[in-house]
Amino acid sequence: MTAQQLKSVFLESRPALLRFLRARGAATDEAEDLLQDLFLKLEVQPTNSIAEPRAYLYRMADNLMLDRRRSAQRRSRREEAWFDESSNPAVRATVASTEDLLIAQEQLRQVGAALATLPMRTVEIFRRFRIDGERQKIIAADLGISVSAVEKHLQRAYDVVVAVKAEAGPDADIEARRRLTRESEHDVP
Amino acid sequence: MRTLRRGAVSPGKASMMYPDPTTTLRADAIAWRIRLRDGTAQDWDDFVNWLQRDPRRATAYEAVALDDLALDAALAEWSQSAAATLNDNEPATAQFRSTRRWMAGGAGVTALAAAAAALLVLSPQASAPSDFYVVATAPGEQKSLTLSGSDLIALNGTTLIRLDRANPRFASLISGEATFTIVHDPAHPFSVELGRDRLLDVGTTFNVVRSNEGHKVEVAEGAVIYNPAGERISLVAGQSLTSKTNERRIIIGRSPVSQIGGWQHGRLSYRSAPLADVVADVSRSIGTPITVQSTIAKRAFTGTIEIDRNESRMLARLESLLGVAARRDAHGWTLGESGQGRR
Repeated sequence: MTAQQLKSVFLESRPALLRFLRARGAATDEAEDLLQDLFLKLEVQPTNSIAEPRAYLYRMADNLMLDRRRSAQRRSRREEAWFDESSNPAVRATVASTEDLLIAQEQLRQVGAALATLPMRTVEIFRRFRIDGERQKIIAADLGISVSAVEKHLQRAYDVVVAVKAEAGPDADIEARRRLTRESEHDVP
Repeated sequence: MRTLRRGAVSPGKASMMYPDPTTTLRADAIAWRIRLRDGTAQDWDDFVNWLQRDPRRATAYEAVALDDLALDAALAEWSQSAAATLNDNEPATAQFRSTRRWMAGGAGVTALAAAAAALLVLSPQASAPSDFYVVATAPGEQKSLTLSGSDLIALNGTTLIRLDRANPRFASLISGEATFTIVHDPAHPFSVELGRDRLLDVGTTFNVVRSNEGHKVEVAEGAVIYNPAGERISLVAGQSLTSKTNERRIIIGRSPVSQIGGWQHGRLSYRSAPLADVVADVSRSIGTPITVQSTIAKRAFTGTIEIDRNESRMLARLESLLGVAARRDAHGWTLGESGQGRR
């Protein structure tokens, strides 16, 4: 499929995509903006292996919306957090990169610990689907079980992974749960 | 069109099995997230119809999807350093082979998959069973511990800390105060549990106090991350973080580096600190209960207090430094307005 063909599928699907984004909770303005963004991105998409263009576009729209939500959360967290102007920039850079790594390690540690509570088969199916990217049908055929059995395993694994994040404090909840306060020099309790 | 068997979970059908609406919403959202991963255009159209019927569904889906997405980011971030760790770290690889044979095999396993699979085994909790033990200090007693030959933990009086023989880069401060001086090792972050909260660091010096009222962290050197999987607050040298148990606020403040952990040298420094906090620290340092009357508990104090282990002398010093009157009671001492009650 060419970029041009993909674009014309986009134009045909635009009303449906708009409906989708609004159903996802985006205001009309935001949804229109997102679709603009999506259209521009179509220019640079590799188009060879797109089997189902409409599904592909839905997924792109969904991901774009999620990316925006995540950036917004990061921005608000950084705004709330301190920024010490007098601090050494080299230290700040080290902290930032170390921070990303430590956060990743911590998240994975928690996910790993949570998954370790599940039967090996469930973890294996989760790994193949989520990390290797295998389709449910293939996993089912390979293991000699039904697709709905695979579905059940995945439901169980995802449930555990999402629960980990929920307990740790999902981003959406953080602002509601805790507000950061900067102590002023002259604060008198 | 898939036929549903009893027990199978599919979007929409989950509501028949779970009474709790939040669980139902989340379970449905998860089912959709899984189904849409390889979804057809029809699947997506069905998804839109499902979303449109209840606005809470969009919220539930977004929460699940964001967490799912975060896993990708975490895997990508981690796998870069994981490759190095796997190559260099012989004992860990050997452990991997012996404990999870079924994970190790398979041609065509991508580097990312191998890294992720390894992580499930390499993380301390997964690979070695914990062997916890508790160290306690008496009131007024100070104690120093060394882990792995070079990580130092200095404990103040009336402190309870839980450690793990199977994992020397872990501590859980149950209550009391400790200063941690941790050797730099990014491959093995040191983690400190404070109840449900945690600190993670790669090599720093920091002080932590924890009581029923909450906890306070002060960083003297390096950087610490508070709740990396939650609030994700980075603290660098000279910063403090205070969390009060019943409050939703986290207070980020400043602490002069030279004064952090001053209790080890019998010197406590404050700037506009509430009397209640000051007295709690002194009390911990000398091992004698001292309470403060509520009328003066919030009064601000700026200055340095040298600890005197002689109780009477210490209380006399507090009287003059804080401008209060000290009275003996059944348990220890009470501080009140000066002029009210004499020793």
